[in-house]
Amino acid sequence: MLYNFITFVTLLIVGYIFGTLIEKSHYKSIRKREKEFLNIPLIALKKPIDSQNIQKVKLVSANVVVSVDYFKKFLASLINFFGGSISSYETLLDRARREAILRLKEEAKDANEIVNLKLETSSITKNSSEHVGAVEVLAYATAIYR
Amino acid sequence: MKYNPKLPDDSVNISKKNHLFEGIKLLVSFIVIAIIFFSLLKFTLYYVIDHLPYKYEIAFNQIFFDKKMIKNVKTDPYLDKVTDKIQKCAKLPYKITTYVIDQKEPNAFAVPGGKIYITRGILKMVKNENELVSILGHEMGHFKHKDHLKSLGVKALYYMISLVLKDSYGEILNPTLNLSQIKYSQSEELKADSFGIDMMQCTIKSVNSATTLFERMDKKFKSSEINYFFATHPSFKDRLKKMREYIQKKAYNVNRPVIALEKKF
Repeated sequence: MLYNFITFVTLLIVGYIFGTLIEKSHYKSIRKREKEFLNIPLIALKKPIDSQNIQKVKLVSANVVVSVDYFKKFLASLINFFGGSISSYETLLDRARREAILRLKEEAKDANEIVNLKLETSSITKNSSEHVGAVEVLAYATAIYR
Repeated sequence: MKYNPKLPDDSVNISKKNHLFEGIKLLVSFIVIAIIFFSLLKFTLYYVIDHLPYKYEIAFNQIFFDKKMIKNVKTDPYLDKVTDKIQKCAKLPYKITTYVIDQKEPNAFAVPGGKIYITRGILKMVKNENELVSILGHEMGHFKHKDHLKSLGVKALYYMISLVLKDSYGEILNPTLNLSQIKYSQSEELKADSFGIDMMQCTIKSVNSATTLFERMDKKFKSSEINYFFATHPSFKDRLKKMREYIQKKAYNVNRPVIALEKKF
């Protein structure tokens, strides 16, 4: 019993430390790239503002799979018990979404604008019953080259 | 329309809560709730067991009556005589049998099925019949207070709660429903001590030497490596104090001379 408990606490601590580090570094990279790609318009309108002068259109898509650490999972299971918003998964999804959008922009680097952005999220469950271990976010849109 | 480039705003989608604090707060509340819930269930369980009709108690012990719990044990006619004498005072719904284990470590324990096991080691330490009655009376106290049922019930409670919490996890907490591993709570042991004293008063009309055996054992085990005894019983200090208080409170007869043993073990 004691051995199990020690393993559990160690996992929690390791999860917390490394999870926080990885998250911070991921956010740093996200913010840096968002600055770089700031100039490519990415909108969710169905049609481009200016429908003339379009040379080429292309479907672009990007996806990313992000996972949480053990500590966040445990925190989520506690919140699950009492009810309320699961704050530990919020950063996970925020990162996944922004990463997917950035990869989308990466794919349409020389496009003039990207329209009709759509995002789809799906959970990738590991072996255990309802535990959401990883989340996949797919972003797709139409890139317009003038 | 004009496209206005703007960096995403972090704060909208992420709640600025400190996860560590949140986690600790929730964990502590969860533990407190679990303790309260468990205590309520345990209290209810003990209440039910205390008021259990005799027929269920007999049925429970019936399972163990014919089973040989420990091998290589003998009975002793003198011990049987003393046990029967105490039984008349104890008023238990089933028969108690005392067996001797050929071990030099002093120990005595009660096992479901109305069986008391006592080692040769402790029998050698007994100086008179009074002390023998105190030991056997104590063990009968465990039967009288249904301590086995209670400890099994609590283990079953742990098991059920662990099933609910662990859900479909592979490693389900496996409690040891091992009946030979008997460790009762402090209060149950102290109650059994009081019962032993009651038995002395009822059987031999005297509580002379009620505490002398424990006092000798206390001295002997202060410096000794034998912690075997302490694996199944709490410390002597509390027990001796409570026993003396109980004797005073009940104003039992301490002056009658001790009864000698009928045989040497």
